[in-house]
Formats: sequence, C-alpha cells, structure tokens
Amino acid sequence: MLKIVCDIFFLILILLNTISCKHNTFYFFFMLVQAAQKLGAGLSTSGLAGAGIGIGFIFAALLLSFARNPSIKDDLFRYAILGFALTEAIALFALMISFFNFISII
Amino acid sequence: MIQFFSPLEQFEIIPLISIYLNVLDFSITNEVVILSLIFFFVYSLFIFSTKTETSSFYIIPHRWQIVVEGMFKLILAMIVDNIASKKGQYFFPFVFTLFCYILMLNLIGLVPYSFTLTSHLIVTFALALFMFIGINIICVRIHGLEFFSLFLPGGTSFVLALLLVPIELISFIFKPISLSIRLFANMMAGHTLLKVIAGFAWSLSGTTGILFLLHYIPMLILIPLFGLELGVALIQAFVFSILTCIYLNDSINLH
Repeated sequence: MLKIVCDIFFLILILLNTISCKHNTFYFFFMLVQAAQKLGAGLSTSGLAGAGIGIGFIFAALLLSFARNPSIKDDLFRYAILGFALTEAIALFALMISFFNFISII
Repeated sequence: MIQFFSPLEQFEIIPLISIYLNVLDFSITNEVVILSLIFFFVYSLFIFSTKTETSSFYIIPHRWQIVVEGMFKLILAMIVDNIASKKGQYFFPFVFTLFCYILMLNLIGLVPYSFTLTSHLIVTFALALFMFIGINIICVRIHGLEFFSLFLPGGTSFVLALLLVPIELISFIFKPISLSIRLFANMMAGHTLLKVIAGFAWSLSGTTGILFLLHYIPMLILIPLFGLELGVALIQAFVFSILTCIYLNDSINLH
C-alpha cells in the first residue's frame, strides 16, 4: 500500500516537472533511450545463430566430399574458405547493426 | 563527468599536417601515411625479387620470387577458372592490383599502433562502387542493350517474370554494398575485439593481489585471436578478388 502511494507520488512529481520545465527533466528520457539502445544492441546479435549453423554446414560438406575424393584436397579447401567468408559476411551484417546501436548516437 | 574510452577510438583519422585550401581539405592524415607505405612495400616487393642488373627474374627462384610467382599463379587460376572466355585475360592486371592492394592494407593494420584503412566503410565502398560502375560500363559496351537481359533468366512465364525482375534488380544493386560491407565489417569487428580483450588485460594489470595474476589470461587469449585476424585478412582479400572475377564473368558472358 505504501509502495503504491510512493510510486504514484513519484509519477506525479515527474509529470509536474515535465510540464513546468523547471528542472532539466529530459535526462529521464535520455537515459531511457540509451537503455533501449543497449537492449536493442543485445537483441540484434541473435542473428548470429543462423550464421553459425551455416558455417558448420559448409565444413561438414567439406569433410564429406574430402572423404569421397581425397585427391582434390586443395580445390575443396579453397571453395570451403570462399563459402565460409560469404557466410561470415551475413553474421557480420547482424553484428554491424548491433555496433551501431551500441555506440549511443543520441 | 566520467570519460569513456571506447574501443572504437582506434579508428579515428588524425590529421598530422593540416593543409586547407578554402573549403577543400588536403591535410596529411595518418591514412595518407599508410597509403604511401603500401606503395613503398608493394613496389619494393616486386623490385627486390628481381636481378639488379637486368631486372628480370631468376630461373631458379629464391624466396621472395616464390611469393610473387605464387600470387601470380593464384590470381591467374582465379581468372581462368571463373571467366569463361578469352577476354578474361585482359582483366588480370586489374584483379592482381586489387588483390595486392587489399592484402597490404589488411596486413599493415595488424601491426600494433597502426591504422587499418579497410576498416572504414568509405574506403571499401568507394572501391566496390567504382568497380561496379566499371563492370557495368564493360557490359554495356560489349552487349549494348542486351544488358537488361541480366535481369530476366531465360525460359520463364510472364507472371513469374513480373515477380522475378524486381528480385533480380535488388540483388544486382546489393552486389557492391555486400562486397564492401563484408570487408569493412570483418576488419572493424576483428580489431574491435582485439582492443576489447587487450583492454581487459590492461585493467587487470592495474590491480593488486590475485587479480594481477589473472591478467595473463586475456594476454594468452590474444595470441590465437591474432592468428585468426591474420587468417581473416588473407581470406578477405582473396574473397574480394574472386567475387570481382565472378561479377566480371556475369557481365562478360550474360549468365
């Protein structure tokens, strides 16, 4: 009960400050936006999961094809590295969005 | 106020000698120093691997000549494998220069306290954009108005074509963007990761007691990470060149 009264009291205080512009109340929103940015930065790294699976897939295919025909090892490895770099690019696209959120632009 | 030193500070461009002409900025920055270093290294690699009197290669190669011949063979195999016509040989100097340039830029950035140029989006995007414009000009010059058949794979019904052309257009526009962002993101993410872990080691070494003994752990982790960065530098240069060859093939032989 006391907690609810205290919460309502603080809310009315913030509201009055915002309306009257007596103190600099924009720091509340500033901090909230910054917190939301950090949250978004963390959430956007969930795109790395698919990229991890894709990279494992490529090297699984490399192992299987090497087992079938070990004599063309160098060519297979070259194509595997090319595929790895292309898949890694997708992971880094997601990570770039995370970086741009993390350095707080506001 | 608390001062935050972010790990992204290493990517700042610092003017060493500021030269301004009214509005244009011709200052000598640390970027310009790195670019001139690249010219020096690449030039000396090819000059010092030859004989001094006649400036030709030895028949039995010695060490640096093997490196140069290896790069030559790699790029030549790339072009011959990927571009299915005789005209592909014209582009060999271009792809070779591109490969050497990006390789040197990536490798110079690995030296401590140095500056990685390819970790700036503007550098890689300018490179990819001009290459893209050049490839389109080549395509239009060889094929004329048939250039627009790139967007419509043969043998599709009308309804499917209506759906397919916007998708092909979007993937066409995305080519230089993805090429540049791949290189930029790899370099920037790698260097930022190294900086963050080095920051851990640095903060830990400023404490006392048992925490001080723990500061060896980030330093030991840095060693395989540095090897990974070296691998990524080489792979990204190779991937940029091979994708350039594939796009050249797309434009010279329309699909």
